[in-house]
Amino acid sequence: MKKIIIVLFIFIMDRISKIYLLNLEVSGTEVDFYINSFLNFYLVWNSGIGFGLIPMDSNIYYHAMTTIIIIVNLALIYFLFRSRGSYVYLLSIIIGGSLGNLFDRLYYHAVPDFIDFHLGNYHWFIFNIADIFITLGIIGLLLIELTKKEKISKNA
Amino acid sequence: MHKKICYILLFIFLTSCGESFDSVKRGLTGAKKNSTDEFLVKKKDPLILPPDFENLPTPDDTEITLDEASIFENTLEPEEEEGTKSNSVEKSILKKIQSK
Repeated sequence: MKKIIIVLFIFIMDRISKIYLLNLEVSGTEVDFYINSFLNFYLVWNSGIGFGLIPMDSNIYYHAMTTIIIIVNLALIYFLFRSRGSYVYLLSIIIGGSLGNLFDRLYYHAVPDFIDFHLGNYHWFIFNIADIFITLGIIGLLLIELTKKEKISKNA
Repeated sequence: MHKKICYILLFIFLTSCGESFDSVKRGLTGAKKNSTDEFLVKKKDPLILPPDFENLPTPDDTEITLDEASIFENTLEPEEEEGTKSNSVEKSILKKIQSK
């Protein structure tokens, strides 16, 4: 049950943020806000995957990529119901964010990104709330892997 | 090791950060998107018709027909008068000469 609650919570949070900014854009307000010296809100649409890779103008490639992402999501959900311990939380976080991006992919045919984090003039890739949770989940999984190896080497 | 690669691939596939390859260029060069109205503070008002536009007279309503002939005559009148005066003087001189 907690798995579903975490997934839904992240999914809804992501949706609220996107709907809010998209409504602003529809009402005529250009989403290009200065928040502080290292954060801007600037709406862009990403039809590709992470880091703006493979931007897909062609429908065939876009649908192929979306199909792959759906399969990956289904596989993650399968692993979520089989996992235990901290994996449950990490996979729930990843699936929550991933479903948020997948929804946009199916509904808008592109994912809206708006968080423009920058240090001085050096801008990081523009991302959204879903990306934050996916990143946190993946970092968590990588840390588990790293700590596991350390334990194995200590025991040996 | 395989798991780590899988996680990184998972990350790339599931996230959607970045707008396109332009964003990479933008990140490296630090150039912000070009804006045509970079120094524009106030928003431009849209073009609208004036409120009493319907009441304004159209060019067809006031037909100013210029009588070119009358203007021409008016301008020539004083000269003609002078002309007639000179003619009369000439005639009187001619009469005097003829009478002699």
